[in-house]
Order: sequence, then C-alpha cells, then structure tokens
Amino acid sequence: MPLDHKRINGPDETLPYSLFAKQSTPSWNQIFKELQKEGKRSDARGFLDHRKVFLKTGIVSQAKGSAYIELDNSKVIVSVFDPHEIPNRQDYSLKGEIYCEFKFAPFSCKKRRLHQKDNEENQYSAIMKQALESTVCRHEFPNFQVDIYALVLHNDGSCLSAAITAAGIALSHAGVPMYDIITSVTLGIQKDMILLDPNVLEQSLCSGPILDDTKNSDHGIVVISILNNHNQISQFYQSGMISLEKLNQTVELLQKACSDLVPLIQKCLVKHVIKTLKSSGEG
Amino acid sequence: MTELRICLPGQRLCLSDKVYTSGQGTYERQGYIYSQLTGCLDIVEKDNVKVVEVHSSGEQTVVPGQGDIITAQVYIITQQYAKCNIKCVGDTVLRRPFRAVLRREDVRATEKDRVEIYKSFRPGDIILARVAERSITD
Repeated sequence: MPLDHKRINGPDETLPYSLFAKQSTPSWNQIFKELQKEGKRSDARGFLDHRKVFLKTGIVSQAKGSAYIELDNSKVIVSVFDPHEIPNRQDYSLKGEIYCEFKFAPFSCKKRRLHQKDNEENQYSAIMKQALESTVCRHEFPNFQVDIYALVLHNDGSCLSAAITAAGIALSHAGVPMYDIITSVTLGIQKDMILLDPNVLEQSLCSGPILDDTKNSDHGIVVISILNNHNQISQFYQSGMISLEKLNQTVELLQKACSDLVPLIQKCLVKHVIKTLKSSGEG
Repeated sequence: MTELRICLPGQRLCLSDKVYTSGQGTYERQGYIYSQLTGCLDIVEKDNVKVVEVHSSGEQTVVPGQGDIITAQVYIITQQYAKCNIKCVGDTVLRRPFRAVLRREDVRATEKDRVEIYKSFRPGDIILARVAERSITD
C-alpha cells in the first residue's frame, strides 16, 4: 500500500518492545486452560457478563448528533451529520442513503493504525451500514444522505458492536427518524467456552482454533444487532466455525445481552431531552 | 402547562384508530402508533381526529419534501432554468443550504411558453417557492 507522505507515519524501522521482553508470554492454549480453570476472566467478571457501559450524548459540537460509548477500555465516538444531497448523482432514489465510516484512530491499537482505511475498517463500515439501514426511516429523506462517522479511540475488543450501539444513540440525538433503538453485542466462542463482550485478548483467543486432543474445534466471533421493541435482528456477523446448536445458544444469549443494554440507552436519551428542555426553559 | 411526555424511538404510543392518527415524528405499524424520534409527545386535535405527533428536542432534521414552501436564493440564471440554494423550509432555517433548480415552465401558471427567466429573476434574489413533485439534484 502506498504510504501517505504528507502525514507523520512514525519511524521507518521500529519493532514492538514486546519482542525484547523475556519469553514469558503464554501460548493461546495456556491462556485458554487458565481461563477454564479460573472460571472467570482477567477483569474478574464471569464469562457471560457484559462490561460496564458508559454513554454520553452531544460531545462533538460540530456534528448534528454525537455519542460516546465506553466499555471499560474500549472507547468509541460516533458523530452524525445532517442529511445532504448525494454528490454526482443523476437518478432519483426513493430511500435515503446512509454513509458509514468506521475508523480506528492511529493510536487506538497495539500496533499503529494508518490513516488510510484498511480492509478491516472497510468491512466494519459495511457491517455498520447494514445494521443501521433497517433502523433509520430512510423514506423520510429521499435522495439525501446521512453521514455517520465512528472513531475508535481505544480498541479493547467489541468495538464494532460498541460503534453500532453508539450510532443508534447519535442518530437519535441528531433527530434522524428511526424505527427503534438499536443495540449490538459481540460474543466470542472457543471450544465450549462462551465469552460475552470479549476484550482484545479474548477476541484473538476466539479468532483461531486451539488444537489439542479434543475433537471440538468451535471458535469464532459473533456480532448481532437487534431492534429491541420489535424484536428484530437487523444485522448478524459471524467469523470462524461454530456448530449449529452452539450458534442457536449464542443467539439467545446475545438477544438477552442486547435487551439488557436498552435501559441504559433510554436513560441516556431521556437525560438529553430533559437537559434540552431545561436549557430552552431558561433561555 | 400540561405535563410533558418524553418519547424515545420505537416506543409504542397508542392504538391507531379512527380517533388517533399518526402524525409528524411517528409511524404506524400493525395497528399501533410508534415514535420515530427522541422528544416530547404532542396530541393535536383537528375535527374530531387526534393527530399524535412527536417533536424532537433541540434542532429538527428537515429536508425539503414535495409540496413544501421554501425560501431560496437564486444564484445562476440561464435561458432554461434558474439555480437556487434553499435556505429555509417552512419556518425552519436550514443549517446548510440545499441546491434546487427552478425550471422555466414552473415560473408561473399562465403563459408558460412566453416566460423569460431574466425578466423574472436576477442572481441574488430571494424567492418563495413550492417544491415540485420531486426534489431534483443535478
């Protein structure tokens, strides 16, 4: 990929410091065994517990609507801009367009991210678009386009689902008509272990098979987005290999986890309404 | 002042029947009216029909739709059309302008073939117009 020479790309030759540390990093197999033995995760939550969520609206003043979500260390900002005309467009579309851009900040991951969009970001943008298209009342703004930008400030796993949840709040904050509140949760699977809302380490643990004497090689990541009041799944993403019965089980778990997030979002939005009402009452 | 009711997207508001109909900021689905926006509930009574509306808190998202009265500024005129920037839709001022085209045959209702754009408009004019059957972007 051609490098962008107008930006600072960091020194040409760098090596991660971890390469020089003593060889004490455990293998995936060891990590897996450890997790199984402990019965809980590194941050002392159970396998099916969601991380604590922090939500805030209206943090990007230039945007029409914005939201900030924090799942412990995963931090994502989503901003939504007013509908505008689609540039260089000849034909007329009855439904409005949604443009999504999912971006990792250069400093968000362990390895420096480039300013250009890479394949992972393109894929996440497409998934986000798919999830949000069925949430927004697109017939309300025919021939116009709404821009949604998600920026990951710190990647500690489950960023895509955090971005989709936050995008729902940001859209609502922007006053874009929506059918429902959307929530999204990630889940990781490794053999018989199911990890809800995995962090970055657990995510990479689940993304490949661990080979040992057992036959069970289930592994993978599942991301689901749900419209809660109507109980509809607007987006489903899976990577890896998961048996059918396991998948059924995970979908049920994810549905429950998604509905658990709804009160938080409602509280956040109601807070925003009360705040604007108060400020307009004073002004 | 009546009690304010806060609505969230996807919240079921009431049954949709002869008395209650779905208005601005709401949608109808399987016999019920649901909210589309985050905002306050408002029921407007008009000839025995109660229109359920939700008004979004803060700035509203408006796009010019068919039949809306808009305020626009002309910036280019040609023989065939005048190009304008839409500044307001109804009473609301837009954050950023939308582009629009006013065609020669739409300038006035009578003597359509004898219209000459330059006799009606000059660049810089502020005009009041109604959006024709579909918004045209070029």
